[in-house]
Amino acid sequence: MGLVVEIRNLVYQYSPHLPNALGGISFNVLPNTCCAILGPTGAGKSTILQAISGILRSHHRQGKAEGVIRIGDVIHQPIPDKSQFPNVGYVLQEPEVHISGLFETVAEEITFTLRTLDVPPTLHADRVRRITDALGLGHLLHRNPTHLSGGETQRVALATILVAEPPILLLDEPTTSLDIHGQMRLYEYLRKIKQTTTLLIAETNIDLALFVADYLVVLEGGQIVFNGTKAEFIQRIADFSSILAATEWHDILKSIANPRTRAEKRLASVLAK
Amino acid sequence: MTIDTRTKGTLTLLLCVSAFTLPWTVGALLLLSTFLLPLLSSAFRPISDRSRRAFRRFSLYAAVLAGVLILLNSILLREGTALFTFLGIPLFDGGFLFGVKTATRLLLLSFSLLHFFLSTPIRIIASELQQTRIPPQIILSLLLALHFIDRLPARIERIFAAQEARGAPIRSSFFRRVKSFFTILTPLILTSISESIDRGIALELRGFHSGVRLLDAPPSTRSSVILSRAFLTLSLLLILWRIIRWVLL
Amino acid sequence: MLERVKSVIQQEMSGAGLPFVGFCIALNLTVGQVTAGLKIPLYLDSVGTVLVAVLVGPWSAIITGATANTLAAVFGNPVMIFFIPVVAVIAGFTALIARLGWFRTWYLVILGGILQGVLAAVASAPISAYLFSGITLGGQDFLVLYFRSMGNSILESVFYQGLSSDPADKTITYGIVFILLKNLPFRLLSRFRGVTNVRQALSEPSHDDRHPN
Repeated sequence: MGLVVEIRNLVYQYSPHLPNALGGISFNVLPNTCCAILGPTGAGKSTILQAISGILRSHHRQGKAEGVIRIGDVIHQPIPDKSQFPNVGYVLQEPEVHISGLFETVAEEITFTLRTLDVPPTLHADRVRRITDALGLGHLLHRNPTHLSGGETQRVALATILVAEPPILLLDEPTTSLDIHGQMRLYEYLRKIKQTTTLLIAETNIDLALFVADYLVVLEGGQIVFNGTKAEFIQRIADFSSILAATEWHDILKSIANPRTRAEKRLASVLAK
Repeated sequence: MTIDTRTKGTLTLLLCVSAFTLPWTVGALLLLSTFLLPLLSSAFRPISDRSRRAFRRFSLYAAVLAGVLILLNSILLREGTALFTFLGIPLFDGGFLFGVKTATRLLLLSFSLLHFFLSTPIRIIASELQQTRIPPQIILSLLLALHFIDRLPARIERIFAAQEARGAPIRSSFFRRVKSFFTILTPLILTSISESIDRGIALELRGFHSGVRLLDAPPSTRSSVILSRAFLTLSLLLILWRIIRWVLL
Repeated sequence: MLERVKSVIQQEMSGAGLPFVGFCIALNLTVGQVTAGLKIPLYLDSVGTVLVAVLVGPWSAIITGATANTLAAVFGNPVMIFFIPVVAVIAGFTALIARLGWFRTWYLVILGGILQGVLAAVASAPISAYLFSGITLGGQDFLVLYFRSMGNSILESVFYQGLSSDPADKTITYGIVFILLKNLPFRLLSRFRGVTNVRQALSEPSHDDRHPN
């Protein structure tokens, strides 16, 4: 089951001579729901995910944080000081860095996560098979994980985290290396795991975010400019279109008005709901 | 008979210890026997074409250099009596013998190590090392190094091509080439540091900790345990014998 | 003692340190591709070790050098394995002078390189002399033979040979690492434990330091 994530008055500064990356933000993500964090590059999307995952504290020694992060029943003040895995799974923007380069097959690469968690070896094969079946990776199990296509790498990276069955999953722009079919397939899967997992997705691709998100948080310059449900977001779309990539908004509005491709028709039906 | 990595490793250790502790004549016999190892057991045969090529290259290099060094020692170390003259230059037996002894020791050391490393996949060595009390970070860095070794040449090629496309003076004067060296090395280091940071984060995000077992332990048979212990004991005895001899004499 | 060393290794090789050590091992073995491509007559096979000694720490640098030498043996140069103690000396000395702040100033880097060269010559002489009688199947063997023919002992000959090449080699290596580190943005350097070995004041970022997000 998913866990709640609560962020209260979070302020973060990477170093004393840089402006605040996050300027006192607050929002909640309820268990088994999906929150999409939208905003242009540099808005603070990744900083939020890194703060929740625990790596912000351990990798930026000079960073300064204020506020509170609650993960399930555990309150971290101001932010977690070490990796919260396996409670929090985090898939980075560049999926290829999740491929450790230590192993010769995809199966070994995914099993490595189970080894770090000291899962009994007798359970390894079953857990790996379950996740690879769910992500459609069965045919890649014996392939070298460093010789895969962008989409395959993305799915293997996701599998290396999801095999741990984290109750909270953070995804940083998960669709950057995927084609349109790959993007839709990934988001279909995310909708499925949302039943048991709390999702936080940093996205610049608004149409995809709307496909899976229940709540949306829009950031600009480390400040929240919108925090609400999908319906509220669609209602207020015009208000803050200027802060997001104009072409994407143009595409969305065009798609809503006149859906042509399968993806656009699907998007229009999602938005109509 | 199957010979596993542990047995091979301890046999290699015994051969190296023998090179330093036993008379050169025994060393010469052992050197010859190392060439029989791949014929006697498949466990000592090179694992890939690359290994086979490395072995042939080193063998040729070592043979030529050993010959040249024996010759030069015979000429330059004017010890003992002149054996014969070569192109009017006298060759001394003291220098000749010294050259033969040194070449034998060096070749025995080199070829026993070479037989071991070229016939054993590095991942197997890593999984054996894992059985010892070596911190897993060392094994992990070894495996990561192999990953980078696979990728760095292509990355260097790409940077070379990019610099050439921008008109970098790769084929000009020495000083401009030295300058180019930095324009190639700097992006290489920059991208690799960025990648290292991301990889470090990615490992942490998967819960990597110091106690994690990276690879499955290869099974060891009773005979391999006995053999490897015997080779290890013999090595220790040879070292002990050498120390006692050194103290007494 | 052993447990303490293990714990220091764990501390050093955490975060970016561990993958960086892996990269630097590979760099030691492949930097020759760059120098050969540019036709520069330098080996620079300890650039990676020096980088790790400055940015990560002494034990990681020893591991970098030792693993690189072992892999050199795996790839067909078995003699390298016996020079692991020399690599350890290079790593330890570099980490020491880096901690003393020598990698912040160019003239101290040159001085360090010369001292390192002498130290490397001293450390490698007994190995070359006693284990190999001065012959290691390398081009420098002819120089050793030349010194021997002048009437010097094996140890002296090997030492003189080392003195004739090591200080220049190590000074060039140190110089290259110094220039590389000077050009690295603070936002990357700050992710390593040894950032203070390179930049004095943490509040002085270079002009290209951007927001990491």
